[in-house]
This record gives sequence, C-alpha cells and structure tokens, in this order.
Amino acid sequence: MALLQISDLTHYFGGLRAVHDFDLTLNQGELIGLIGPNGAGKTTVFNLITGIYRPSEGSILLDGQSIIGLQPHRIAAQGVCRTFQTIRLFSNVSVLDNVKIAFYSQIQSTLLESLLRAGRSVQEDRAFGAEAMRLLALFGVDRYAHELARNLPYGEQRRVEIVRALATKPRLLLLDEPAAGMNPGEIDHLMDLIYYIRDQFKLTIFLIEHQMRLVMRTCERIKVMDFGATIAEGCPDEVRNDQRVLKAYLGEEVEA
Amino acid sequence: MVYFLQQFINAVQLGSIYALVALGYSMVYGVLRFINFAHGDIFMVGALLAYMGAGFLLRLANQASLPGGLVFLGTMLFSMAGTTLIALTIEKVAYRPLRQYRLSVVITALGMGVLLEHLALVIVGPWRLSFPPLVSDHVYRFGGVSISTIQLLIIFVSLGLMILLEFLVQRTKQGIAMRAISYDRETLPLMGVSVNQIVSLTFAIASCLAAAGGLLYGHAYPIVEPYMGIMVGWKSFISAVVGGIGSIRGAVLGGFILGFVEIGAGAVFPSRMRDLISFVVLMTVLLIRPTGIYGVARRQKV
Amino acid sequence: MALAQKLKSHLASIPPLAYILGMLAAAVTERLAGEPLAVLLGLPSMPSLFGITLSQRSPLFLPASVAYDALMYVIPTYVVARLATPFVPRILERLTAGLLMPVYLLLVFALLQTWGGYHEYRILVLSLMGINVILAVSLNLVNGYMGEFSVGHAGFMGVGAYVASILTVLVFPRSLGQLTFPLALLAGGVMAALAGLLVAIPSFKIRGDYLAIITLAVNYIIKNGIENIEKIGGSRGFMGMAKLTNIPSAFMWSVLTLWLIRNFVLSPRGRAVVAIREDEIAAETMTVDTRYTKILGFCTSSFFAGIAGGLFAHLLLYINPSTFSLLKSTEVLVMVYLGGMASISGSLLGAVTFTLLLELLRPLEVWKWVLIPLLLVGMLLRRHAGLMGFREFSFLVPREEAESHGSASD
Repeated sequence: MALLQISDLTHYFGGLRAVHDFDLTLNQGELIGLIGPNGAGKTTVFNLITGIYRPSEGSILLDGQSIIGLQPHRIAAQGVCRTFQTIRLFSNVSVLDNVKIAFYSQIQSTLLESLLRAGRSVQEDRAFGAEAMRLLALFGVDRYAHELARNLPYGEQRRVEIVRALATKPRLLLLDEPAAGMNPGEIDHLMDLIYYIRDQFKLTIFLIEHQMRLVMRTCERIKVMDFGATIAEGCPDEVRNDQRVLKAYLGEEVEA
Repeated sequence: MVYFLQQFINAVQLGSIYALVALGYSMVYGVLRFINFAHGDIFMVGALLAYMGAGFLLRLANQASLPGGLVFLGTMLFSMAGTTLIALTIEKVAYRPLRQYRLSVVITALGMGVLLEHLALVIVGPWRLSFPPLVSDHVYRFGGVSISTIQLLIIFVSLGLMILLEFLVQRTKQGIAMRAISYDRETLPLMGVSVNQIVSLTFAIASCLAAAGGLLYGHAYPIVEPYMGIMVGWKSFISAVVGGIGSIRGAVLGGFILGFVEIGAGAVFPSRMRDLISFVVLMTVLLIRPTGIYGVARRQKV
Repeated sequence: MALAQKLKSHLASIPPLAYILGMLAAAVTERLAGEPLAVLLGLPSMPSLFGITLSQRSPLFLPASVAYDALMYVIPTYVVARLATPFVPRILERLTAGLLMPVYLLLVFALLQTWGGYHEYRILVLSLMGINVILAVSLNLVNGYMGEFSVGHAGFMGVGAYVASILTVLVFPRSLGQLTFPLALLAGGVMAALAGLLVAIPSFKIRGDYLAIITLAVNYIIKNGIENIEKIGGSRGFMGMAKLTNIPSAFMWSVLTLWLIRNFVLSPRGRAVVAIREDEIAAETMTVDTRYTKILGFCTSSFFAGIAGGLFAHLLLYINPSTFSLLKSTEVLVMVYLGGMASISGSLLGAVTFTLLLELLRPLEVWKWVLIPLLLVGMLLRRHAGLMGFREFSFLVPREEAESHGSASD
C-alpha cells in the first residue's frame, strides 16, 4: 500500500483556485520533488497535506486512511512532519527546548505527574532531552543546545529545524525549500544530508525546491506545478526537457 | 408608534456620542494597530475641560452679552485644545518609546487611563458636577413625539464633525497618509511622510472628537464625574469593534448600532442589565465575525 | 567606592540560610522586646511595617523609626547571621537534596509567622502578599508563558471569591471552619477554571488584540452577572465569612501555587505552552495539541485566580462585584509586568514589591493611582520585559539545567 495517496486534490481561496486536481502516490522510501514558479501552489499542497487547510475537494490517504479534517497535530503524530519555507523555529526558546517540544506526541506521563514532578515525568523529560541532544549532535549543532534559537546563523537554524522535525519520529518528511538562502557548497552538503536522513531514519521525503541542482540530482521523481495545476511529472531527465516546464519557467517565445 | 419614534431619537442621540468616541479608537487602531485603552478617559477629560471652559465662558458671556452659540463654540474649542494637548503628551512620553513592544504599550495605555481618572479625582476632588446648559432648551413637539434643542444639537454637531472627518480623510494629503499608514507602515517613510507626525495628527483628531463627545454628553446627561469615561469608553470601544476596528465607517455604524441596542434593550430588560447586554453583544460579534462589519481580515501567510 | 564594594562583597559572602536564621532571631527578639524598645525611642507603639506608616503620620517619628529598624532588625540579623555562617556548610551537608527546599520553606514560614502572627496589620499585609503572589504567577502563565494578553483576571478571582464564600457561609457548617476551607477554595478554583473556558475556547480561533477584548468582556460579564444576582447580594455585596485566611494558609497556598506552576512550565506540556506563544502553527505541525494546551493554560490560570479570590474573600470578610473590576485586573497586570514576563521569580518579586508599594503609598490614597502608572511606565521604558523577564532565581531552576548552563543570580 502506498504511504501517501493524494487524489483530485483541489483547493480554493475564496474565488481563487490555488490547487487543481493534484494527484500523487508516494511509496515508502521515495524521494520526490515538487517544483514550479512562485505562486504555483506548492506550499498550499504541503499545507493541505499537513492539515493546516482543509481541502475544498479531493482525498488524502495516509496508509489508506483519510486524514482530511484531522487537526494538524494528529496528522503530525501519525508521522507526517514538515519544515517551512521561512524558518519557523521558536525564537525565544533554546535550541534544545525547540527539539524537546517536538516530543509532545510521545509524552506518556500524566498531567498530575508533571505537576508534581513525580513518577515518570522527570525521567521522561530527561529521556527526551538525551534523545534531542543525540539528534542535534548528529547534525553538528549540539554545541548550540542552550543558545536561543534566534541567535543562530541562518544555516544552523535550518539544520535545527530539520532536527526538530525528526524528533517527531516522522515517516514522511515534507521539506519546503530547504536550500533557500544557501550557497552552492551548503547545497551540496544538504543533498548528502537528505540522503542520510532518508536512509538513517527510514523516511519518505517530499520536497519543494527552486534550486534545480538539488532537485535534479536528488529526486527520483519530480512533479511540476504552475497556476495550481500539475503540468509535468516524471524522472529528472524527462522533466528537464519538457516543453511545458520550460514555458512555465522561461516564458513563451515571442514571434518576431 | 409615537413611542418608537421617541426611542428612535434617543437611540440616535446616544449613538452619535458613541460614534464620536468610537472614531477615536478606530482611527488610532487603524494607524498604529494599537487599542488605546485610555481613550474613554480622554473623553472624560474632554467633558471635564468643557465643564471648566463653560463655567468661565458663561461668566464672560454674561458680562459681555455674547450670543449663546459663540459660548458653545468657544467651550468646544477650548475643550478640544486641552484634551488634545494631554493626549499628545501621553502619546509622546509613554506610547511612542514603547511602540515596538506591543504588550508593553497596551498595558501602558491601561495605566494611563487609571492615571487620568485619579488625576482628575485629585485635581477636582470627588466631584459629580452638573453641566451648565449652553444652549437655551426648547422642546419641539410633533404629534406626541418631542425633540429638544439639545438633542438636535447633539445629532447635528456629531454629524457635522463626522462629515468634516470624512472630508479630511478622503481629500487632504494628511488624510490620505493616515489611510496609507494603516495599510503599510514601513514603506510610508520612504515616500517622505513622517510616521510620527501622522500618528500625532491621528491622536489629535481622535482627542478632538472625544472632547466634542464629552461636551455633548455633558449636555445630554448633565452629571459629569471622573469615572464616566469608563462605561462610555467601553461602549464606544464595543462600537468600534462591532463596526470593524480600524474602519471609520465601521466606527460610526457601530456607534449607532450600539445606541440602538442599548435603548432597545432598555425597553425590554431591566435597566441594570443594559451594560451586561452590550457586553454580550460584543462577545457574540467577536465570536461570529472577529473583524467586525467593515473590518478587513488579515490573512496569515503560512 | 571601594568601601561600598567591600561592604557589598562582605554581605554577599554570608549565605542565605544564615540571613534567614538572623531574621528569625530578630523577629523573636521583637516579640519579646519590641514594644518596650519602641516606647523607649519615643514612638507611640511598635511600628507595624518598619515605621513607614508612622513616619507618614508624622515626620517626627522618622528618626525614631529608623533607629528602631536598625536596633531591632538590622543589627540582630547581621550579628546572628555572622555567628551562624560557619555552621551553615555543616548544616547543609546533613540535608539531602530533597530536604533542602522544605527546610528553607519551614524557616521562612517560621520567620513570617513569628514576625507577623501576633499583629493584625502584619497578618493582613502578609496574607495579601500571598494572595497577590498567586494572582501574579497564575496570570503570568497566560500572559508571559503563553504570550496571550489576558486583561480580565479579576473576573476569575471574583468567581472563586463568591463560590468559596457562598460555600462557607451558606452551605458548610460554621463550626467546621478551617476544615472545610480548603474544600471551599478548591470549589472556587474549579468554578473559576470552568469560567476560564469562556476565554479558552474563543482562543482557538482568535488571538492577540481581539482575544484581549474577549477577556475584558468576560471580566465584565462576570462582574455584571454577579451584580444581577440578588440572592447573593447583587451590587450590595456579600459578607458573613469567617476570617479563615491567615499567614499559614496564605503562605501554604502561595507556595503550592508557585511549586505547581513552576513544575508545569518545566514539563513537556508546559513547554508546549511556550511553543504556542512563539509560533502556534509550527507547534501544531510538531505534534503539539494546541487546543488542549490552550485549555490547560487558561483554565489552570483561572483556577489559581479563583483560589486567590477565595483567600481574599476570607481575609477581608466582605466582597462586592466592583472589587473584581478592570482596576483589579490592572493591578495584577502591573505585578506581572513589573516582575517580569514568563518568570516565576519575577511574579514572586513583582507581587511582593507591589504589595509593599501599595502599603507604602496607602496614605497617599488617590495619588497612589497616579504614581503607580507613572512608575509602571518608567519601569517599562527601562526594561520592557520587566525586572526578571524570562529569567529565574537560581533556587527555582532544577539542578540539571543549572549545571549545564548559568542561571540568573539570586
């Protein structure tokens, strides 16, 4: 069974159709890319999958079960996590706490135990802390653990965001323009990182990107959107040479 | 029928005053995205200054036999000037430096309101003053419905000020700048407009309207006391929110809606429940349509 | 000045435990020799609050008051503290980690009870201080930690006050007094927590300014609602309560509140509250159940406000709806902002300072409320997040966190 099955997904903002008949089948372990000009509706698709918007039409099935109408945190608890186009870390909170917050769905101790700081709650908190440090260390940002998130350099913030997402123990990771603002060297490193987390954490990755290098070299399949509709789909070579894709990005030739 | 017409007039009167004060809340919010909780007390200051000014000018008028209309105008201008001065001082000293810290400036506003109330208490004592009539009071009757000159005065002065405001906001350079700020604060200085000046102007206009409201309120309900700004402040605030805070049209509409709700509720429910009903109306509107009737919903980009 | 530096470092070298023991000794001495000393110095009676009220009555009492304070408080405290200093490490060694806090608390309680327990006015001030601590910490949970702007805290206080009072006066048998008091308080808290839902549920969709308006509306609706219920006195008020609030109960409840809320904010669910403040959508996406967390935050906050209200009612023995108006809410806001946002230590500090300030300024009556807003603005201009904004005293930070990185000074 496919991990994620999207059919006929359509969404309107008032009278504006942002997404139109979007279809996608994601299988466990795949690395899929979503590209398209700005305003094509890519982030909206992410928002629909993660439950931030409720789609006007269509279906989204996770492991065969519909997740439409579920609160975003329930969808996240079922293993769908994402990063954001603009970094959305908890700015005035330490890096370590940023990650610890993401363990919310894994809390076992009761409220009472938390209030009394008794029973499992302290151990559980320590366990979360230890796991968070381990993840941060894997990505080389553990030295910032007690630093406020907003004080970190941009690139490190992006990494912390990924660490935070991984703390939710996702099965499907949605990355929204992870390479934004990076230089070529950092992008190469990011590509390795993406392969690494896909393999180490047994993830399925769906990413939105504008950096063609990253998309063409990492993704197995690519979908192209423009004005809410899917205009092309296939492996990188197919998409690279597709007329409609070129037109969407570069515009049409004007008759002389 | 007669009863309804009578109540209609009462509602319009009350609504006009609420509208004048509501405009102040809305304009300041429109320009600064900040609810000036002290505005109700600015209204009280306006009423107080009008009382003082009226006392002085009436004595002068008796000596120099000035026409009543002039006394009224003089009192209004005096009250507006004084109230504006106080409001601008508060803006410059307390609000402006804290403008970037949203929560701090709101609590400062609450504090300033408390300050004004108690300052008035200190300066004038625990007064409940009786406002002197500045206009000779005739009552016109049309088949059972009576309307007094005071009521006509309130309605026409309010309408006049609102029309003046509409002209100011739509036709003058400053007015356009005020509307522009509410859309985009950052770009405006790039166009050569001083944000501080426009903010001060907005506060000045808001205070003038509130002062006029205080003067008119003193005519309609002649008891003036330091805590009068609280209830009127809240009702006007509710008016502004119901109409859509930030919108001038909304403030006016909201003011009249609240005037009608209050008079209407007063006819059906016991009078001590009037305030409660106004607040319930507020809650209901906020829950159904938080941005009010004319308010613009701000969409958050995810 | 070098001398000031020396003095400062010398005083800092004396451990807190020694100071507490010193103050305890001073309080004991005062019980025995306070009145005679005061008379000896020419004061009409023993100063109730360091001679502040006496000096305001007549400036002639000022030198005598200062002398009294020096002889009765400063000198015995210093002397005993110095004497106790060498013994402190040995005492601390004997105490296991778990006993440390309880011992400190016991000593502080002994101090407060010894100093204040026999003096009506002191009981009043200390009890009010405890009540204010509960109010400030509970409000900080919503305003500081959750980043909302609740302006109607007094409404929940009122709910608790009335429910507790109705229970002790009309329902519970009088003779059981102190036994039923905690039950009445808890009932008041629970009802206040339910009232908190009136704000919590709208908060799912509404944030910021509009939610602030709703909190105000709820405050007024509660106040107006009570005014309209004739059976419990309406706007005339309610009375008949027994004086069940005293230093022990106020101290116990405020310590409990501080402890529970502190534990809460350190727990994963507490961190979720902060996440909502920072970025609600990101929090949701990271599995945080924002609706549940908001309910938790608002209702816990109003629960403790209700407890404070119940304590308040059984201290003043008369309550009426106008007590629980915007002015009271503003008082609590001032305490929270003065002390510092998202800081339990800050709320403690803010509440204590503010209560003392109110007493200090009491003779000024109306001028009090002219000065307080000015002080507030002055403070906010210097430090816009308050005195202890986002920081904590070291004794409130759990051991692990303190070891890994520094915390604010004591």
